[in-house]
Amino acid sequence: MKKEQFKSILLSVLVVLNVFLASQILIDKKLWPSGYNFFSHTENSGIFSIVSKLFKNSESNMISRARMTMPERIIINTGDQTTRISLNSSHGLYNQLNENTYSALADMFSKVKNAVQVEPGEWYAALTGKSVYLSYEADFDAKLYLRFMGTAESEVLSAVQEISDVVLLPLSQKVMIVYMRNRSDDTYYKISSSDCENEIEAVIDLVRQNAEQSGGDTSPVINYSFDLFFDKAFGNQRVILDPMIPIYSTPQSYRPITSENPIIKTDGTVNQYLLDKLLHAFGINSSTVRRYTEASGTLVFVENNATLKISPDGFLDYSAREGTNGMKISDSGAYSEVCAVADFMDGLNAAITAQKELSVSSVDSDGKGTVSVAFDYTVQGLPVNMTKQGQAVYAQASGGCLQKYTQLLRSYSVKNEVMQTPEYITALDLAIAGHMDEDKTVVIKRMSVGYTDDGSIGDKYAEWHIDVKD
Amino acid sequence: MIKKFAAAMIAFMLAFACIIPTVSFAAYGNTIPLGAYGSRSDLIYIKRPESHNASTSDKTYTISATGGAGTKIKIYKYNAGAGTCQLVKGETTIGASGLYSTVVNLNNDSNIFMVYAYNDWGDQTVRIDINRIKKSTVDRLKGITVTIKNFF
Repeated sequence: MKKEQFKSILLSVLVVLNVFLASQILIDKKLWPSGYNFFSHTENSGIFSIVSKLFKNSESNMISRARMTMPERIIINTGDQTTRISLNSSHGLYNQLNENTYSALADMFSKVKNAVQVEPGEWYAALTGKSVYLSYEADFDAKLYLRFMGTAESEVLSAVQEISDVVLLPLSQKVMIVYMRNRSDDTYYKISSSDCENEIEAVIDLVRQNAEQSGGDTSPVINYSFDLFFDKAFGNQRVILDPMIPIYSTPQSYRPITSENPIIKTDGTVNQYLLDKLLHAFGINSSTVRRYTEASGTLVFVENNATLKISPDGFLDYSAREGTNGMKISDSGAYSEVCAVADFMDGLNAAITAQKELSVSSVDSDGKGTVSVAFDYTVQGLPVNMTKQGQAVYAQASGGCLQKYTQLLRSYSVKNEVMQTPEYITALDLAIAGHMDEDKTVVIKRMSVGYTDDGSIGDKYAEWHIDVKD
Repeated sequence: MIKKFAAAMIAFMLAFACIIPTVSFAAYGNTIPLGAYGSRSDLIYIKRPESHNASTSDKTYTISATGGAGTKIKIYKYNAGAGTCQLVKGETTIGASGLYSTVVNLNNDSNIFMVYAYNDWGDQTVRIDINRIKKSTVDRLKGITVTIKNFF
């Protein structure tokens, strides 16, 4: 009797399975006519994805979203005139400081009612007091910045349009002033609260103590350009620096890095396992996709909705075909789309073992529903500047769909040697020398240390990157 | 004989006239007199401190200046014991940017620095006085812009 029952159950299961698989073959084009991969497909199914989320550490694929509002550099102004400490994400105290400033800012933005425009002098005064200066690589749309800080709507937005630099000036554990700068039109705003729980002052003291113990008198003296009046022209002065460019008294130390293309090696060998994972991230079935190789060696994958190309030097280009929406990644809206792009990028980089640390370098919205976001790789707390491609990752999304995605696929390893950049003035002189024939004042917008990657494979070194205003 | 003497005198005077400008601003090596003055006043422009004197509570001070490319700068500090100014920052040549900055140590309450600039057209000296005072005094002098008073 039991045997008959078992047979009936087994038969029923097989019939159900048969119907299910037959329906998949009839409905899902991906299963036609060959290349059927049951496990790959179930991984994408709704039930499986819910189950897998329970076991996967989803935070591991949200690195870039969390890094979205992480400053490229934090400068601690201790209150003494030229005793300042500069930290990037490689510094041991950076995360603690970033968490403290983030929670203080989130608290401020959720409570304050309005922002007031102030004179530059008040901003400069805050920087000579005991304060924290946050320098972002990107100029943020204020609405987006506040969303990342956890505030959807705020009266602050009626005054502030763009945020590129922030100064936190704690007056006590509850009283704080936050200054914001819009770099594009050089305007300054402040918000203040007497009900903002913060530990900023304690963290400033902690960083200072740490610096005194580890560096002592050997630490570089940091002046802002405005301290030295390099932001104001006099006589026949040909060069003007942005007031917030930090000027270090000594060269900067760094470790060189080595770049690698994780997908295609220098001898042309393709890592098929990682390539399949890459295609999978874009929802492409590697077995059924139409593919060919161009004369240049570029791998081309053609789908109904998009084309994906990977050149031998590791440049990936995903483009939705004209008239199609592209790949669905999120709900509509700039915030959702930027977050989804960051998550997608993290998932892709984790899958193909590319460099995981990236920081946002620009976020733009055209006002018609299309959002563009760019990221730079970050190694040892320094951004990697792509001289050929412009940025490591560029993505364009609209209506919750990814329409364009480019990335120079790279992984970086840090070499075990220490080198030094030239002094800032030497780098500045070299950069200016190229503009001497122009009969106008040269305005320097940004000046920072970062790695330079020309797209070739091999050792990369850090140097000063100078952004001259057109 | 008189002609020979006159020719020798003229040759000597010519040579002397050519040498004087070179010697006068190349003479300063490791020391410079506190009262030294140069032949020019337009080789460099001191940006910080604006009024050529300042007060600070810090152990160091950053002097900044602008000048023409190729102008050389040395920094001397007055030593009261020796009665002269001694070299503390060796020769630096201003580059294409025209910008110059250097950090000097403040060992005493009263610190006198001489900025010495020179190029093919002459030389210039600028005296800078930096006083070290207590931090509380600096804050009072600065009249801190951001205070609780103007906060509300």
